[in-house]
Amino acid sequence: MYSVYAWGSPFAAEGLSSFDPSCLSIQAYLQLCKADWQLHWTSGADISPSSSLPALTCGGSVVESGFWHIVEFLRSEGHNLDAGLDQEQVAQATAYISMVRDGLADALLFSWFLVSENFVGVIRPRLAQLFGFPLSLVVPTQLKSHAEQRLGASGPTAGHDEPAGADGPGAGGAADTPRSRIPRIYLLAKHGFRRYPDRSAHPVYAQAAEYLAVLSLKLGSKQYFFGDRPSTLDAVVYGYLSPIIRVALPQDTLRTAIVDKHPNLAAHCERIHAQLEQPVPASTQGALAGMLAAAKQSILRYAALPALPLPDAKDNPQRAEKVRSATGALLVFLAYVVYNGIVSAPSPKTMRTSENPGDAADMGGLLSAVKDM
Amino acid sequence: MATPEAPLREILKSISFTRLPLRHIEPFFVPEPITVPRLYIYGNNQTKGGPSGCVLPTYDIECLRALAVLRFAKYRFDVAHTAEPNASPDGKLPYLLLPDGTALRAAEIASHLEQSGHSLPDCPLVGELAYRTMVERSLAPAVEYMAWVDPVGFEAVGDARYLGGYPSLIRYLLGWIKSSRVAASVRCGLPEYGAALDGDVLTENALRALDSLLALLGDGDYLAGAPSLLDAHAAACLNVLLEAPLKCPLRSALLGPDSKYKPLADYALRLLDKHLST
Repeated sequence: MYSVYAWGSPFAAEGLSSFDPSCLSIQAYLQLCKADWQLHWTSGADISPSSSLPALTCGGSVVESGFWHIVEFLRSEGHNLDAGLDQEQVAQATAYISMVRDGLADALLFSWFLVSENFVGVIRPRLAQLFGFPLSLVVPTQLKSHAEQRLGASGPTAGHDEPAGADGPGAGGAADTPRSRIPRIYLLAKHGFRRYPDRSAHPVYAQAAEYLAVLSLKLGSKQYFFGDRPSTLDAVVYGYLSPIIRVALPQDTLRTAIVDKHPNLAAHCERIHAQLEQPVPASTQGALAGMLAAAKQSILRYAALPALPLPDAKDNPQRAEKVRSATGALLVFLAYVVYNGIVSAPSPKTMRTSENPGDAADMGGLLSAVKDM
Repeated sequence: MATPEAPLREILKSISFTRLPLRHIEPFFVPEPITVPRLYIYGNNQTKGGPSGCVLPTYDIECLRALAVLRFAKYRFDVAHTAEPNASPDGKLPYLLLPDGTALRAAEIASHLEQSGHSLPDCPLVGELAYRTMVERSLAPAVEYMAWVDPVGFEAVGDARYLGGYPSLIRYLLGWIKSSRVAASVRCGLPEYGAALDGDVLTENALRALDSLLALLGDGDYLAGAPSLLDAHAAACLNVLLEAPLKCPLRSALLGPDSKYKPLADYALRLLDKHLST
């Protein structure tokens, strides 16, 4: 039996067994290929060797983590949803899966984390309920900052003058105009301090509309994307579209775009959902373990950046030896200085009785020590 | 070489309170006007060609893609090499300078081609957007990682080809800043939240994309049947992999003696010879 470790679900009432689309995709894949598996909810990715969920274990040891690694492992175990596809269809599936996981996911992240009304009204409270105190104070903000970084680096907001997290009244408009150079405080005073601006015109939604149009054209009127049997692409599309369709948000631009303009995609998600059973998690990770995992995640995020583009110490043992020698010499020097009293702080008693002639010698000794330094 | 005039006058006009006490002094040195649009891209210190014998104009994927798009559209333009991206409207290369002084960012070049009647022919490939997204988000980040984050690639390409003109201390700092930014952007771009930055994972994603492109190419001359944005981006990534002095598994996979990706390598070199070489 396989065990899947996945992020928990604050949307269980909506029929979702995880808030993470990758985890949902893997769960859908396992159910569609009728593998024997059980679900474990976790508050951190500590169990995963790649620091990301989902993670798959078999026989008590972690086998794979990450969507593609898990899928390729399951295919090698005989659970291959793409067994009936030819080479050209497999190539198409790879491209469409990349479009959904990389392109459409940007719109989902924007809608959930960068639209203030949605984040403050629905997403953050639900995630806070899921993780519990004190993770509820940390994890939603971490997810939001991850979304901002991702959209700023590679999403539609990359290259825009407007930052990914900007929420002023002028946000969402044309990027490079003289208006965009006017200070935001001036615009806020002129247009009013609206709390939740309308982000429905943001370019990320226009790009998502293109992706949805391509997906809808590919699906057409078929039951599944490649004929009458579900494939990996069906599982991925379900994993990424069902959170959009099933979670009601105050500003649901994306959901409206799918339901109103591409009803075949909405019907496809419902069709897949009807075939899946709501998995009952076998275990849930505790708050303390999750808190430690979250702290480790935030440290690793900075530690993953390259420190310096320098050769590894294994390739340059002489340099490592030099660093150790210099560090040791510095420590020995500091120890010598402290041990011999070259640097010492005057005691409060010495300072208070400095007016007493009997203590002039102490003061003289202190001054001479300072002078000798 | 003509330089774009900073739009200071327009900014001052739009902000009324800066009329006093600021004064705008007319420039006493008028830049030489250009008569043909000029594309500014990163240069290439290479003087002789790689495996194909052709000289790749630049090792930057974005610059090469813009160059390919303009060549596919049969747009008349010049190419100028520069190492200073701050002259660009968004501070990034490439940018296209028009004779009227307008500077277009890379994202605006496609719309300019449509307005000027030089747009690319309609792409016959259904799902071209999916393939293009795959190349942008799976193949290009792997190449960027090899060029800027991987220590061997950084020394051979990032440091030697981009920062060679700077003094050593500034070169070291700029290289570290650029390397950190590329690492952060590549890591944030991974689909799974919190995934560690792993060159092997990036290589696997890129190989999966290459498998898909190989199946799409088949026996054709172009991926989409005709020159398209997909061909521009794919050719840019593949040619940087093939021509740049990178030592990475991706390059080995493309150039291996019995490589199954030989049709892709031939396709990339064919486009380099026909459209991209200087």
